[in-house]
Amino acid sequence: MINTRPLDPVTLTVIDNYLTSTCRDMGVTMMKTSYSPIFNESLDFSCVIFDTQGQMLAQAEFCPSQIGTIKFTVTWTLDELGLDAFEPGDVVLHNDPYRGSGHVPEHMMLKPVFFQGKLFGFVANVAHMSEPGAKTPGGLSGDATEVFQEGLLLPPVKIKSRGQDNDDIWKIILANHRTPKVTYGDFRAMMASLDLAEGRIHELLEAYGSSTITSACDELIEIAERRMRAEIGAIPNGVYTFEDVIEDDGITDRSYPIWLTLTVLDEEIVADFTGSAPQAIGPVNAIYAVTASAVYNAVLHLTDPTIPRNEGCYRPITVIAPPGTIVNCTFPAPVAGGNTETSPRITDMIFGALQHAIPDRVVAACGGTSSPFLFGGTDPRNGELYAHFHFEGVGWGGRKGADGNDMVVTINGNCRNTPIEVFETRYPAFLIESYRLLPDSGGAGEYRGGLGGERLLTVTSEVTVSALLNRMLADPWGVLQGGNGARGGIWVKRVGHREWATFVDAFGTLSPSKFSGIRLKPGDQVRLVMPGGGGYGDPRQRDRARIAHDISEGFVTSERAHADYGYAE
Amino acid sequence: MSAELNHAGRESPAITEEQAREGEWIMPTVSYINPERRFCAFTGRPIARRFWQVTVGERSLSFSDPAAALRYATYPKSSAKPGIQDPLS
Repeated sequence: MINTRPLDPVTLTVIDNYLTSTCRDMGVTMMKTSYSPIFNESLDFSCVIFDTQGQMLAQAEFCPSQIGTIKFTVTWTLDELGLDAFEPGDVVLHNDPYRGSGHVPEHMMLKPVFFQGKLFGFVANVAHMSEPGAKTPGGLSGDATEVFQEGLLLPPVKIKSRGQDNDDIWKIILANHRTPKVTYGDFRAMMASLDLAEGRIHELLEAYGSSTITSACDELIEIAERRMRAEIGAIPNGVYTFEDVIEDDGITDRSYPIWLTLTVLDEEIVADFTGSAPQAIGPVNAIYAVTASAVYNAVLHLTDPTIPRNEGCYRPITVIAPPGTIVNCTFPAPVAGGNTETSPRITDMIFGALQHAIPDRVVAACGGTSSPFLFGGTDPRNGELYAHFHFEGVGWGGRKGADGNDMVVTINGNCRNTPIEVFETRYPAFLIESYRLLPDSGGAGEYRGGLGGERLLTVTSEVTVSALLNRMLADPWGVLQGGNGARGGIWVKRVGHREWATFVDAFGTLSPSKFSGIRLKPGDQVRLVMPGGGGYGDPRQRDRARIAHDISEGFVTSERAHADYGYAE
Repeated sequence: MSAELNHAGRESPAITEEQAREGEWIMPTVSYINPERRFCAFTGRPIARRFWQVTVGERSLSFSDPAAALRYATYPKSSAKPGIQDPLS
């Protein structure tokens, strides 16, 4: 029997919070039971609940880029397989970017939830595997030219059928990953989180009945859509444009402009990327799901954070990205960096476009790169292969009322960095000599850009490294007269040499910031510099006491305080 | 007939709202041997399987759903200019 009575606000809130808490607990399960630091330290995963129509019912506050893309990953899976393909106890695994995944390392698992013999919906998670079977350890190959080089592609396949492992699928995957034990452990962690969520939803359905829960979810979606429309309606109608650039692609030295025309009309937003550069040869392309996810991320940042995060809040947002461009590349273009580098750039562009329309809400550009530094080798302690995707925080842009965050993982990530103790224990290749904030790296402004940082590593055993960074050639921009943040980059000092060099000069790579498969020897050193954030507002308006504090804390030098802010001690 | 990929802006044929409504759902089979890759003519979104086909003369356009076709019919051509200046040059 369908419940036709409107639910009271208390019950609706309880149900909404229950679903969201379920998603949070899914994440805790993965954190506590996984094998790799990218899971249990960095929390590079997301957890969601969907209904049978592929509508998102709930999410938790994990990784924004994944939460946006998983909408496409799940709906693709349901469309390709069809609802009739699912049986109780099934688990589907999928990571193909040309079927809606963000990039190859991010693997989605999906489990149908049946209740009293009927399919209620799906629970799903997506997580970044630091070893996806790519051409180089760590998975992000800075000079990949095809998606096939980025890892083992998995269309939606059942890794479990009716509660039983499909051993042949496991064998294919484990045989193609450098670290099968870690993959096994992380996949089991993902499955455990799905089992937990399934149990929680069963409890909810038993408590309220599926009719009430279905009605509640429909109502929550309508509420979210209504509230998001109201928020968008408060933005002045207009056509706003902005352009930015991806500086190179690891294969050629050409740069790739991205053009945005953002139309706000009444209660809807259209982000149109027509006019953007054709897709790149190297791995900086974004697939459609990544571009859409980046736009969603920006709009969610600009609007009321208490709006329920479900299907409804995405409905007023339309994304137009012509196929064959850097924001919607076609098969088999490489895409690994699209999700880590191009995505935060797109999010920043939305802020840039709206800086004059809603100045109190926008943020200057963040460092805009995950600073991906990938490495792997043979552990001299036990002879086993290891691989890691290391990423860093960056300075965030200043905003009205506050300086940018210092060294926080970029706006589409919301992940944590790996503590030095864990890094050095798990990965025997490096000793971390220093890890610090960099003075003067935040863009000047009434509200200063956040600081970038520097990590200095010494190689202790032979290791193969790769990188896929941005903001080595282009500054993170400020808004509303704010100054640019400092650039980042990566340099190497070979053992026996005194000077730092780019990887171009030291190893002949095509790009200083995007390369793969470089072998370093004990004694070599790597210097990773993370960019700062752009400044917000006129630096001359910055409160003098804040400048004094910046100087005393070492965030800004006296020289730059004088030059950028006109400050004299 | 596969729909035309449109990555140069709104160069696909214009359609009327009536034509947008008079399309039909197509449900192709999924092939891994001969995969077809199809995009919504309005948004560019890749289409997994089922699509709304609008035929104009001898040409067909694929859309994610009828709503996308309707918006395609009424959406103004983008003011963005292809081949924009590279800020780094």
